[in-house]
Amino acid sequence: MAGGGSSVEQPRPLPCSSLIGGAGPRAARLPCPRGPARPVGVSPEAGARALAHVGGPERRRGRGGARSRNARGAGGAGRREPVRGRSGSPGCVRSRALGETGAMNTVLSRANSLFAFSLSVMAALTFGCFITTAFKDRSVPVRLHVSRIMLKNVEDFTGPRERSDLGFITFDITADLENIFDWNVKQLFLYLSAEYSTKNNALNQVVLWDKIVLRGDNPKLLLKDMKTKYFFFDDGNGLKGNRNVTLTLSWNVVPNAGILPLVTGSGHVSVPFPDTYEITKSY
Amino acid sequence: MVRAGTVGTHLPASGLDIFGDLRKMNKRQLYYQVLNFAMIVSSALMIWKGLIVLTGSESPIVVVLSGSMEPAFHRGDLLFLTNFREDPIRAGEIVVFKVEGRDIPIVHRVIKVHEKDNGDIKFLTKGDNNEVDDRGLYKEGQNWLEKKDVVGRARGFLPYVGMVTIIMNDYPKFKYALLAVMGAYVLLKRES
Repeated sequence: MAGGGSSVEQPRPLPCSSLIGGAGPRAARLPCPRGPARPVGVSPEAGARALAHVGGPERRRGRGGARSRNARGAGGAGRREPVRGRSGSPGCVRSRALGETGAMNTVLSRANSLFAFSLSVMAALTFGCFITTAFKDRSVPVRLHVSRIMLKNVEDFTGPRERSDLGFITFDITADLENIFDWNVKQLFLYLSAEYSTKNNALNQVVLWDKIVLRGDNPKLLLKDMKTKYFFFDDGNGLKGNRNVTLTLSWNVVPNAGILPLVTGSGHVSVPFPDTYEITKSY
Repeated sequence: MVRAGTVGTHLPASGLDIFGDLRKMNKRQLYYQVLNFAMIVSSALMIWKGLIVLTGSESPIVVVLSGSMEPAFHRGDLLFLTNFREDPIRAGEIVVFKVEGRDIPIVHRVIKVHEKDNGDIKFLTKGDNNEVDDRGLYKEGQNWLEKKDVVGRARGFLPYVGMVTIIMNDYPKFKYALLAVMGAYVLLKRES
């Protein structure tokens, strides 16, 4: 680990009032301990702090936040620097960390600093993962085709027990998702959604089919004559004679760490629904 | 390079002398320590409340507790939420919502949206890893969710980090112990 600048070998008779910018009035009041400069151990409080970032609505004590307590640089989920010696202030290096009282044995303080350092490195890597892929465009062209449409009017057994329009669609999808995957994509959640407007509702969106494409799976989609996974119930009877039902393939990019964007593939197909209900045939 | 501390001659040879610093402080320094501690606590609180205002969500950071959204989100993952009023709810979005009668919010995906002219929205959700939609989870007789049930929309994701919260929830003694140790340390440690 790169040494913090505070491990000093020989004693420096430095009057603490000559500190530049460092600890401020506090240091001016406290005398610097005389004697040889002690090599500064890592404060174990940084390690304890590193443990204590909680993700939920817990009260987060000790996370220091924006206040830079000059010695307790690391720890806390937001600020990850290699832990320096306790006195970040220039000049007054003769401070005592808990590890220097002698009660803390070397294995523990080494484990502590190792832990704090690895946490810092992992946080930096995670942030790097996020920031290098945050602004990428995750869209690819998609070709959709609908081969069969049928319309029925039945009681909506999936929810409200009213007679609603039930649509059936057979579709094809062709897409190459290879360019979307990079080092920060864990999986793609693909979904085919139908969007249309009716008399009752200005906007309706129904997901008809979805698929999970994990990293490592075949990214080329060549699906033919697919049936919908989910029932295409309308909220009412708005599918009958609906001229403009637009099908689009979109995906939710789930990263290893970072933003969760929703991307729509460029390419959609609009289909009209029949004016009459199909009573006899089943799909 | 980190080196372990060496023992000074004026310190006791045995035991963890955490009160040593405390003994050496005068009243003013003691007062300063308490103020320091209060500053840390209020900073943390300020950041949390500030995040709530910034994101518009009552709980901007949540931990995933169940496996109903696998393989996208596993138990222990962290989600960052926003809840801006101008953002419309659209199919495919991952929303965190609260069902009346349950106090634990659920994070699932929107699969159906029906929006009227005047902006009233009703939507249906389903977990990626579930076979059926969430109507079984809603209140008795409730078929749709509305905007007021939404705690936020998932915008960012961080893996594994929320495990600490889960451990602290499952073992509350650990939580109290950790808080006690950290509180004691901040109160008793003197900055030289």
